[in-house]
Amino acid sequence: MIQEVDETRTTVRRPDAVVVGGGHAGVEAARALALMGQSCLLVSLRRDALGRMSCNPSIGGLAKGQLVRELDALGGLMGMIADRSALQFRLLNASKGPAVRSPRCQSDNVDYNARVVAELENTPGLEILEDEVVELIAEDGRIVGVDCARVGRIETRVVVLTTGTFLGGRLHVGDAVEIGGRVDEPAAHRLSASLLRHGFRLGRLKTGTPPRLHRDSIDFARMELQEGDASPTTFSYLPQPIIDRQIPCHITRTGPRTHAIIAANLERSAMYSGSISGRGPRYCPSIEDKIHRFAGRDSHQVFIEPESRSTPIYYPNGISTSLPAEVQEAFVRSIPGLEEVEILRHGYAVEYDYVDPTELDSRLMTRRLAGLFHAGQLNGTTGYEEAAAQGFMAGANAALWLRGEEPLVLGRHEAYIGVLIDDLVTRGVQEPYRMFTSLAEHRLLLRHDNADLRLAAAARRLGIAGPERLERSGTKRELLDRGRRLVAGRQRDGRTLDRLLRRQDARLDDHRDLLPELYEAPWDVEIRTLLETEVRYQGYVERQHELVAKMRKAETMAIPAELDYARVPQLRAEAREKLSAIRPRTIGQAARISGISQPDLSLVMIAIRRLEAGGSGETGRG
Amino acid sequence: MSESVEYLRSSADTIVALSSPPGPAPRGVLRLSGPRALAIVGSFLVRGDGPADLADLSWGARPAALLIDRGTALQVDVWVMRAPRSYTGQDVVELHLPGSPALLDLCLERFRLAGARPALPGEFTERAFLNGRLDLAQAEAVAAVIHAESEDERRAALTILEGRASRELDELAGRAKAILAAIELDLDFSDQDIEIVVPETLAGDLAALGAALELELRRREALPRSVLGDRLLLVGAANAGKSSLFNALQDGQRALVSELAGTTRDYLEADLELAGGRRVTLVDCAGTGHEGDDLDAEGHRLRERELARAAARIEVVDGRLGPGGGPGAAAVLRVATRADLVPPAERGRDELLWVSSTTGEGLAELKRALAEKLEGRASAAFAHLAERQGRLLARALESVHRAEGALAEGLGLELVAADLHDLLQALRAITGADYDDEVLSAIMRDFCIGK
Repeated sequence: MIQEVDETRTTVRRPDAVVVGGGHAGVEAARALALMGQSCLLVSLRRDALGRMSCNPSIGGLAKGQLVRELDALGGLMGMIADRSALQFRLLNASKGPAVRSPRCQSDNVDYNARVVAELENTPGLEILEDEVVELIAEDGRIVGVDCARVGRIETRVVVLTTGTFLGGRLHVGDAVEIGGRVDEPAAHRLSASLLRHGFRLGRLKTGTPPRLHRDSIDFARMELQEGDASPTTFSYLPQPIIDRQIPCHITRTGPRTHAIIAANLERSAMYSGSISGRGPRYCPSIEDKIHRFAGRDSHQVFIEPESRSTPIYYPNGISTSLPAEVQEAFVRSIPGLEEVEILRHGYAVEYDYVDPTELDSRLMTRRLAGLFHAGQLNGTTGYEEAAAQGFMAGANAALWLRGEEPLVLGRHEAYIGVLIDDLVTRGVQEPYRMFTSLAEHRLLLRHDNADLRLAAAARRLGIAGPERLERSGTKRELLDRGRRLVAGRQRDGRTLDRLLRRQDARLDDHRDLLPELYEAPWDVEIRTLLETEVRYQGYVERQHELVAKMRKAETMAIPAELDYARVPQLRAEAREKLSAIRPRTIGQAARISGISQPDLSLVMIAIRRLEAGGSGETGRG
Repeated sequence: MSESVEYLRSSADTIVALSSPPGPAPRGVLRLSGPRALAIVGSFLVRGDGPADLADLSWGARPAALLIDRGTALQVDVWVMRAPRSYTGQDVVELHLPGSPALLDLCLERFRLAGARPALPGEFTERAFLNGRLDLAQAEAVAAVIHAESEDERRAALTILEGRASRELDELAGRAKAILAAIELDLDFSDQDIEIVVPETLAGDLAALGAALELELRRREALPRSVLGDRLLLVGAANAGKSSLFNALQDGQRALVSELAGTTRDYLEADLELAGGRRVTLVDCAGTGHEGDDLDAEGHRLRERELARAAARIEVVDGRLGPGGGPGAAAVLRVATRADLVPPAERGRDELLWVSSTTGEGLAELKRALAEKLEGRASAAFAHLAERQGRLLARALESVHRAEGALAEGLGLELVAADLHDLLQALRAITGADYDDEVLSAIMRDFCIGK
């Protein structure tokens, strides 16, 4: 399996950057670095596992779909690969407003993995090395290299760590424990020790995955059919080859018998026996967790999702578990349609190390070691999309840092990616962090339909997205603006169309006779839908823009790096500690740190003014 | 920038400012704060034959003569509040004197020449804050209402600081959050088999929230009169008949008498309606008095607060003893009690308002006179405070109405949520419970920092 790499070549021995880990964060980081002109070595335990989907065979979903579209607008890889390897597309929340609609697809995980490997192998400036990074080498607070188990020392100025569930990974099935980051894959243990030696704070988190089922042993006739959308909403802003045939999913449910089996064996679950110390995500609970916490419910939904066109594996979404193998078999077979099911691989829980993300600044670089960037599950997040978004931003910022340029920090009003990173570096994580639309205070602005418009300037700056995306977003912006003017200028029964279109039941199509231009090329249904949305939400969007303007004032109020919180009088001990640890860049960011109150901010602002006035930041006493 | 640097260097300066509202008024107040406040004022005082020494006056007030121009002595009241038990935490001297703008300007100029620096806007409050006399929440409340330092504003701030307002708002915010939580769950977990929001109850919840906000808004509109209403403080010697007058003035009205727990001195207050419908709070602070009163620390603290909050003082003297050595100057009215025991012929020519708590004589006149004295004093600070809170509450109410409209029109729950977020932001801006640009800018503007 190991491909020959000439280990004496400069790209391998002295790359500009080393990316550790080849999951969704690692591949985006490595690709971004290489496409931004930095020679990059991606070190992964297994070359063929690059971009592997460890869990759900799907990309996108609520809020996550927006992340993928943003990533694509910036030139990331995930959207394009997801489109090409999809088995089925569904727009979630389709019955709700445009701001909370999210694209999602079922992915062929074999195809996805293969496409990622091919893409990276064909990225110029990017080299892949199968090895284990065991030590981070730093001098004077700066990264100077890494030690690999096989090839030894590699000199570099930048390391992007994206270790996923592999750092200190332990797999649990019932009371059986094995060391590993994914089933049949080894874990990285020596790197945890290295991080601790460098002074990083490590924590434990856990996540779980369900058993995998054999297609031919599933009785689909006993389940509800769930087809994909007739007209798919894809992820990439560059048109991708559309898949020819969508594969349906199915829905079944657990019942009282399932619950009885699980309840009787609860103490045999790795999670309940006390052998797992890490915290898991509350919103993606294991089936034993659901039975325990929602004892009143006698049924839970289970989605039966295909994993690939080329394997017979099905993924039962909703019953992730770490119960012993025989209990898994018993409860799964109590579910309608799965009575005769063959389990190909049992579910398991995985426990892993994460590094407190408040160790990072807004470009995802650690404050402890210059040149060291962290992204993905290592930062306490969950989900491919969250990982990919961080990986991309870490890679892009690492490249900007190497070039000596200003970092790219996306605002909370600009992108879910901005919300994600800001939340991580200012608030830290108490449980695996997942993106939700409710985490974005400017949700109405951050829609999946306008990520290319929102991020056009950032994409242009990075130069990864390519000219075609930028041209397309430029045209879209122009058509949208022209459409807005047309709609505001035409009238029916003495009222302008933009007024008429604010009603929920009003449709642009109802006014086709007054707007014939909009129904000719280059206009298309996408731009018409976007126009309809923008007109309808005009009032709300304007109010959100006002809030954004207000927020930006605070965001531009910079906190000097040299401000010594220990010398800000009257600051509460908790605030002092948090501000010193997190070192927010702006007052706005400081305000979002949990436990930082308005009075704390006022003291900090006063100290800043004194500092600017030439003082020490200390306030005098009269 | 240079101004700010200079200010930093001179944080131990003694500062002076007019602390009553500008413009002609019966009385004006000049305040000094800083290490040299006592010395500077002392150098202008005459008492008997020579310059007076304020050093023996540890804490309290006394009448004095102020030598402003050669040969011209002004009758003033001098209030001394020593560090650290003063508003700023430094030595503070207040002079209460006739409110002629020209006279006040002249005094300011004299003090400036004697070494006191004119205070920058908000500088007294800033010192109070920096010396730990106000915590930041309090300083913020002050900042929110301060545009120019004045007694009125200080009073308004002190009133908000009691935190009465916040509790109701917290309750409203809690209700909004509960509604919002259900909506957010529906938006973010629709891919799971949960059904959270039932639109009919949502409409009802929003309507109830709107009604509660409206009630709160109406309460706020009445705020300057009822909640923040002027406090009138009865001052005078212990045997002057203050308590009898206090009781007599409540005649026929249901007295709202409270005893503040935790104080060592009794403290009474009552709601009083004056002629013309103006409502005030009458305060009988048993510790209130002048120099020589034997006050413990708690009594000092209480009296300081009441003096700070009071819109006006009513000096009460025992009619049988006559005005005697009472200071008078700081009071809006001087009242002589026990009119029933002193025949009109024996009442002298002093401008005293004679009342009898026994017969009720003069009480109606007293209320009328008070209403007259307070006329036009509906303070700018109250109005400013009420305006800010009212505006934010109105914004909150508008948000609920919009949310109701969005729901009724089927505009989508994400828009209902946007309205509720807007509402919460408005409420948080009032209580200062969360980051808010408005409060921060107020601090930057009013604390002369960052100029």
